[in-house]
Amino acid sequence: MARRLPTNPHEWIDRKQSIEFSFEGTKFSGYAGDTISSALMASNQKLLGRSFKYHRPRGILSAANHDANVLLQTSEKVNIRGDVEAPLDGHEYYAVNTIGGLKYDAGRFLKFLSALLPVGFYYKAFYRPRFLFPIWEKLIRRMTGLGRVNTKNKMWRQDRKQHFCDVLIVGGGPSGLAAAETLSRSELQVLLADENIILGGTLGYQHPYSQSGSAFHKNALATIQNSKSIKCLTEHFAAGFYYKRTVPLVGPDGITEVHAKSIIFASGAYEQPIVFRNNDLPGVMLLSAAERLLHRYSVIGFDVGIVLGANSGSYDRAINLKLAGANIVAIVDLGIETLSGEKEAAEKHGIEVIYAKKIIEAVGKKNELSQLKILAKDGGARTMKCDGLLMAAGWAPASNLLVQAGATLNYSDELMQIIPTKMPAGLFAAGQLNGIHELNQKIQDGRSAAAEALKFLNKPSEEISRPERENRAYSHPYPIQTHNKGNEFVDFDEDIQITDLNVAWREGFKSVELMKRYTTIGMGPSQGKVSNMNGVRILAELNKKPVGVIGTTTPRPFTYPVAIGALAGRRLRRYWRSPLHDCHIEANGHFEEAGLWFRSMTYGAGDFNQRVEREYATVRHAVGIIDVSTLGKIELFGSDCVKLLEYAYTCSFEKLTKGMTRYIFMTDSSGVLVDDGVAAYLSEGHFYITATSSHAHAVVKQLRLFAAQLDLNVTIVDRTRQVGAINLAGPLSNKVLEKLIDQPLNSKTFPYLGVRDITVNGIRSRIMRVGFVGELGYEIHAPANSLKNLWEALCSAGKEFNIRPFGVEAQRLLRLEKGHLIFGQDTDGMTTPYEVNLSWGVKLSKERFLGRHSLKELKVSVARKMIAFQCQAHARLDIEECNLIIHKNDIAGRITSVSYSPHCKTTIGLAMLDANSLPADDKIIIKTTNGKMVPAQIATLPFYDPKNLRQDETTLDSYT
Amino acid sequence: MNYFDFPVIGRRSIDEFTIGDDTLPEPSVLGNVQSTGNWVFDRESTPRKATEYWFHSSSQLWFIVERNTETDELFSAETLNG
Repeated sequence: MARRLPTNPHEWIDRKQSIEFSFEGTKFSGYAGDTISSALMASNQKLLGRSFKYHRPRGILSAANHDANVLLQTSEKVNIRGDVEAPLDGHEYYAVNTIGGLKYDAGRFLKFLSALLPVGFYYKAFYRPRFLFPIWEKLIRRMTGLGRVNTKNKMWRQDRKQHFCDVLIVGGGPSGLAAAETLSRSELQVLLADENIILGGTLGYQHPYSQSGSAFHKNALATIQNSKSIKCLTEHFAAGFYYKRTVPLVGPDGITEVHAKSIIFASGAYEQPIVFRNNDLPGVMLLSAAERLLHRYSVIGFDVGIVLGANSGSYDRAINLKLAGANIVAIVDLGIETLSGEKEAAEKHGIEVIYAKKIIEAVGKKNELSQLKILAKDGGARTMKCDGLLMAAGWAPASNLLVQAGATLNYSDELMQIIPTKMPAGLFAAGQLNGIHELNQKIQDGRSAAAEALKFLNKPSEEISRPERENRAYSHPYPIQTHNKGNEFVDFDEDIQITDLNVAWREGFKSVELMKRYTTIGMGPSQGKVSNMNGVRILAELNKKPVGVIGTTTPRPFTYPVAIGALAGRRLRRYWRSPLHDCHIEANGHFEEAGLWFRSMTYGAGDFNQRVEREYATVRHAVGIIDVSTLGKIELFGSDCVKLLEYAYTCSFEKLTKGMTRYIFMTDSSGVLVDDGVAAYLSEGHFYITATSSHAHAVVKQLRLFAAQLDLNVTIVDRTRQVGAINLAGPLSNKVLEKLIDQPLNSKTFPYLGVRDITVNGIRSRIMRVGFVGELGYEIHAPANSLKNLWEALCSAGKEFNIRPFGVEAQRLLRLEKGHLIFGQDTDGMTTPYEVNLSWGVKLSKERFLGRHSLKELKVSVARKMIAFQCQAHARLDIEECNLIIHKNDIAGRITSVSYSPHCKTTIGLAMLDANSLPADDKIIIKTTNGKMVPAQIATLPFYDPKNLRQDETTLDSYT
Repeated sequence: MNYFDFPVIGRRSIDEFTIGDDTLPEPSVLGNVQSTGNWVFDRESTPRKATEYWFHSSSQLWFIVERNTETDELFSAETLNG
């Protein structure tokens, strides 16, 4: 029977505040300050979870989440760590990984299948026979995973904070507190982080009756509280070690990224279990778990407790538990050496001491521990009744961050523990992590680490020497007790038994990294905190080599699981708004993010297709107006403008005359298309170029590099945000514009592809005759602060011609009919000009330009080819971008642009095909998202107005 | 955080920079496919003292920076062509 002590002066709980919650449908109550595990244990609920593979009953092991036995979920949250998280009032908790509830978990019968689930099961099952693969896959997908995510949950995000300090102390136990106390006398900014609610670490539960310890604890807390330079972050764990001493601390409100000049690691050690048959029964726990439960939460998890001691220190700790009110009847000592006086001290407190040769097994009844069977050194086999078994085999340092930081760690044969032997500059280890176990020594070790940190930061400090490590071991060299019927668990997360490691070793996985991956030891949610050390000891025994030679695996971030919402942080992406943003809102624009910009995709009422087609029709038959302020706009001045353009772009500028523009594109050195735009020749030594919306800055950056590298006389002015742009397009566009300028507008004085500086409605503008959407059109560039005036003037002048704003979606459709590419949509990170019919814009005979050498090679080996296609059915088909083109039952390419074309009255698009899959009969098959095969015909580009008749007001009526 | 004294713009955190390609301008003559391939794709990646182009976006300046690619120690920085 587990129970709560009536009083306890050290407890963390607040008995005045009770918390009501449910677990597996049953109501429970606890106090503020409880964890879910402690509150359940206080109500004698020992069965708290089911294991991953065999669904074995599991309870508290560490009471500190060093294991993953107690993983819970509510309908809203998964991966709730019961050992460390507080129960929330009214919440309904369930154990993860059960089939039909915790108590009668149907999965428990899987243990009878354990012979069929050998180590390396996945590799073997997936290897052969191949026809079983889909069956295995279905089964495994259902069985694996811990918890179910409710996909209807609302997304949540947490803040990510930055913190800068001189010294970060990881861990607020005796060593960490001592370090902080020492540093409080300096001016340094110190951050002390601890994963618990209350600072003190082992002081509170392993040394509760030490007078000097209590005095130190009280003093240190007062000093830290009174210090202005020391900040404490409790309930935060250090998740990893990153570049330049950056340590993310994860707490209930999110991640604080700490950038420290120096770090003191006092993160302590994880107590290690003993491996014996049924060591996972609820009731079998680490001695430190019993200590935590008792001293923090006043919970005793058993009526009759036995300590399985396998090291020095377990005697004192057993006596302390007894003094605190727990019924410890015996210490079963597996130790190889005993200190004089230990046995007598225990017996004085009424604790029987038995020297054991071997632990045979723990025996369970109704999912709980009921008996322990051992082989005593004298007296032979013994069966002892108990409902609490407290394991104290030794310690593995919490050294994850040290390893990530590049420290060297070695196994000490004297301490039987891994200890740091070489630390990187500015990093210091102290306490149990450093192989120091005695309380006063831990305090001194913390102080000297602080002195070393002061010295490193060139601050005055007194000399405090490191304490000598004791010459006795606090860890057992081999706490492994094999049983011929198995079920001795080495790894609780993954249900790894001794036999699994044996099999892996026999199959040749003899190095520690290979064994980890093959058996999955240490790969569960607790990342080997309570399994890796025993695994290494077993592997050393199998290899007949010392533990130190075997080494350990590299622990990777994170120390504990971190929620995606915490990692993501707040969304801090900026939007750029066009100078016409208000106009779009007024016109009922439907906005979307496009790169850095927030753009209006369509306008007005109706469904998506109605909106697009309405805007389409306006441009084709009357006049439309679109905001293209997002275009990159770059002005070039200087005598070397042409030299710069010739180097950056692939085409030749020789034939470009003043007052004219031309289409330009650039590639990188490997010949891949990166950007396109228009270059306008304004006057001698004065050019104006545009770049794609999302790539404008990269183009400016690139041009600046070229100009500097080639030592050119060019001044580059990025006008992207100073100048806005409007495209007025449609057969009536000239009529609208004419009303606002005081000069005649015709193709003789201002031809297609011309550029003119003209005043429009009093606003100095630069107008280019471009044909992106395939109609007579004027791209009007004007200062951003007068652009709204210009837009409004054009709209009112166009009223009599039924002018209407059109969005990005209609523009996409219009240009698709015209066969114009959108870079980044119709091209990808490998597209060359030769693949997308742009060879006419590559002048290989130029002496020098970026990409020239690559393009020379690519011209003769074109791997893919862009094609245009048209479906036969006169209907809007369900084809999407990225749908596949199938040729002879194989993937031959993918669709890059697709839309229903009102002009062709069918679905049209662009696709990229493998050059050697081009069909001879011009027929292709498209596989739609829902698996339908749709036939289509390769078409010639453009779909609309091949002779460019629509670009000139004198001829546009002849093409309809 | 790593700070360094840059010419013109003063003491700056290296977070303010983006790294550019470490190549020189495309030469007029390269010879065969092999040398083109090497020029485009072959990069030295062993830890070393490297000369790199860095771009500082708020001042729009390019710098040539000497850096130890293993320790991230910066040795020198100068503007690219003033």
